[in-house]
Amino acid sequence: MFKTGVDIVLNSRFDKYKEDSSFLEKVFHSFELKDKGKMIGIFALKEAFMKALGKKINWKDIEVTYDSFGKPILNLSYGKKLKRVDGSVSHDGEYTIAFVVIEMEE
Amino acid sequence: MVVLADLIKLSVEKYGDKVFLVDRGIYRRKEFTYNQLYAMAQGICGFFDKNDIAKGDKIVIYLPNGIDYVSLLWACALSGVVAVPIDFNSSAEFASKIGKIVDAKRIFCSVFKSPDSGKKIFVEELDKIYDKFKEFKTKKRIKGEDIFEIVYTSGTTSEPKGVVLKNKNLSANIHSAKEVIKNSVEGFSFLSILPLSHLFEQNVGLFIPMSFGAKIVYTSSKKSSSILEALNEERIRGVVSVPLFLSSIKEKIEKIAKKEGKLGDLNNGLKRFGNSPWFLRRFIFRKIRKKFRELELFVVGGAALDIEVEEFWRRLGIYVLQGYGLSETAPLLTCNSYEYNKPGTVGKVVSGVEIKLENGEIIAKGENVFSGYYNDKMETNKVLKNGWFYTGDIGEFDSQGFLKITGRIKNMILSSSGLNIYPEDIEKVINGFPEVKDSVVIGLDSGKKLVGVILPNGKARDKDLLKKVNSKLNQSQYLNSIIVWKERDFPRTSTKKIKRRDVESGLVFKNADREASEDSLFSLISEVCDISGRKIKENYLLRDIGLDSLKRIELSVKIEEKFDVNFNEDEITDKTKVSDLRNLIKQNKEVKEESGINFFNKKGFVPLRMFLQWVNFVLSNVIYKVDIKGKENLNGLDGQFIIIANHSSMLDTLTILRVLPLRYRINLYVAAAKDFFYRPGSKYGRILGIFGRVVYNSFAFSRDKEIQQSLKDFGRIINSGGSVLIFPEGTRSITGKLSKFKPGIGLLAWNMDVQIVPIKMKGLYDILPKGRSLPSRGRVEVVIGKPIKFSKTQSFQDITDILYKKIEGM
Repeated sequence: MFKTGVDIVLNSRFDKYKEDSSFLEKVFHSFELKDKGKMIGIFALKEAFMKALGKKINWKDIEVTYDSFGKPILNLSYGKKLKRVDGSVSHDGEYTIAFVVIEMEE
Repeated sequence: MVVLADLIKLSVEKYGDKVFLVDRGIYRRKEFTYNQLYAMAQGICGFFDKNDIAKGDKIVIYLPNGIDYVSLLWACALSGVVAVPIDFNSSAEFASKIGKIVDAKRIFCSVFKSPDSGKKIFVEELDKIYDKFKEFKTKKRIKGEDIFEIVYTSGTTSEPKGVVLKNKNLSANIHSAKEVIKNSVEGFSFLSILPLSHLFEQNVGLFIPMSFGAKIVYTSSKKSSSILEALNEERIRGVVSVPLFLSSIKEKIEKIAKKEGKLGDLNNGLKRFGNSPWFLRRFIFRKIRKKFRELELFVVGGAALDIEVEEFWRRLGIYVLQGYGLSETAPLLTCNSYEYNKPGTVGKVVSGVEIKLENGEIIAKGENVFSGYYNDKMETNKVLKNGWFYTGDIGEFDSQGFLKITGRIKNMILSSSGLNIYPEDIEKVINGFPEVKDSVVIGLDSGKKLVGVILPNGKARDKDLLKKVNSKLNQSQYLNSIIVWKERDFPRTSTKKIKRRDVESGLVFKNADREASEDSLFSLISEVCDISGRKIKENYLLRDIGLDSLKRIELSVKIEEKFDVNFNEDEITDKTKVSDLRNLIKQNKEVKEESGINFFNKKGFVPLRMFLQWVNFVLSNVIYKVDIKGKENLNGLDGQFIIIANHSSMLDTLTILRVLPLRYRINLYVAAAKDFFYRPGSKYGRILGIFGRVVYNSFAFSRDKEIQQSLKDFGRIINSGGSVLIFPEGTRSITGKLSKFKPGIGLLAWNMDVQIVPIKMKGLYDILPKGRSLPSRGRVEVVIGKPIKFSKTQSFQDITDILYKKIEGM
């Protein structure tokens, strides 16, 4: 079975959190913040991921990395391995949008 | 002349293998000896050397307190590179601005808060530097006249002032302070509370304890519960802090006493026995004192200490030594001591310092006094005249030579983190708005709350004034609220200066009513969701008030800070009402813990366990023989490590134990799946569980839920010097081939931050595969791989992949 999730972020809403280390530590792993430019995209991916799962989990239970082409890779940090996850992010002007598809084990 | 570098080398020589720093993380507690820290600092020196960062060049340190902060400061002292520490609470923009002003070669910062600059180095990646340059030894000669650091104490973003401190300034002050303290803090453990960008913490909280061979503890959490826990567990004897800390811990004690219905007893006891000999007081107040165990000394500075608070602690049998100084004087000018301690004063002038009063103003001279502000002759000339430093503070000496601070020429508010905030800086910003005629900034609750009081000039007021003002301030200067002054003008002196104290007392009086009626949860929600607190009702859904995912995270961060609890924001769902949230916060205070380690894992079982294991070895040796490869890879391990291995048979654990040397086996735990070995209600589960614990020292490890608890258990084992064996496939392979790893292994390795020893067993599948109950005879090969260490910027997935490939290829 496939499940989908989508999330959109108004970039300026993130401004007040960009330097709030307590906020960031709740959402991101240190390896996700090496490139600050990816911050909002990763946030949107995590939110879309949860929407696809259909439940709230801890932000840090999800980890987002990028392959050599810059495509995001999403993983759960522990527990059952999902069969397959695929995600994509797009930025334009004021907005960032992320889309995630999960293939569940039958 | 003895400089800081000499003091460091002296301490390293004298106390080498003694524990110097303790890092209390969420799951891990790590100790660092004087020798280890020296090697780390040398590693940084090697990095400087390799990257052409020479003596006199500057580096910015923009970090929270911790081990790396200290190693950077040491490296600067040893190499002559100039440290420019910047308070971690100030904005990243401020940090990069200072970086430009001083032409910093590098900015050391955290991924969680970093300026936009090509010169940044993430502290999370420093491990690589330590490792790469571990053999480096700097040969630089440092003199007293060489600059050690430039401290940016305060100022708005527009006019920062850098205090230039030479090596001689700091070493002179350390020398004076040592005279005061004598040897009374030798072997002490200190808890660090104030930021290391603050001179008081740097010199009194770090360099002075260091020269006595003391231990200093850094905690990653600043919650008062974690601080109390650290005071107890680390047997802390001294804390260097600001008055606010003493009063907030006092409040915490009184709250606990009140809850237990013993507040009356406490107050009576303090009144009646507060002046009896100290041993008697220690006995009478032993129950309260138990919470702090060995705490006996507070060194306090930065602002006036309430005499009532000072008395409270003194009566409990804890010394409170108040001192006085400024960044410009590196920092101590006067201090009370064990011998001469007079409450209400800041003590006597320390040796090497001269103090005079000029028109009431305290002026000081000495080797510790700075040489000027960085590239700012004008400001320097204002405060340095004929070798005397004008402090801007007003004071008087009593007949015994104790100094009392009676006022300030410059108005200053001390923030809760020990930062100096000058209200004039903020007022200048507020007055720049068209609707404001004049303003006064006041620190309420001993500086905890900054309030801007404005005098409107009749023009329409922007309802976002507070937000707009804050956007122009440093984070440490953020106002909590803006209040409109109801009278026509502020109270003023004959020279038209605003009488700040009168404004403050007028405010406190009016504020008293407001505070009582204001609900703290309502005010948090209204702040986060940007709606009026009056519009919030208990039965409202948080979703309807406008709490989306971003705001939910912000709210939970603020709940943690305000209510001093651990709060998981995923507990807030679409169906959570305001009243539910209130209950969640209440429950959160009493989190129940269920460790996977229990009675049967106790050390007392070790002799029995080793015997039973030996019996197992002898019996199993009849059935199968074991060949070992790569045993030399175990050499040099310090005992704290995680073993990972492939899992194809019930005999795996036994086989690994057969090849491990006794010294590692004694402290080895085996992670056993909770849902398999410790199923509740299963018939043999209980017996199997106890058997596993007694013979193999196994403990219940949750594979998916309760991961936090499992991390805590892992941390507990490793912190106590033990190691863990875990099978990352999660279950025995049915085919005998390596199956996919559970992702949790990456998370574990990352959080535990220890070496991972990979082990591959070959041939066991043929002896006893899954599904068979009787083994056949044969030969097994065990290959021990080279230990691997991961860095903090590697992702869990990367770590899992690397480990999988490693075992697969063995």
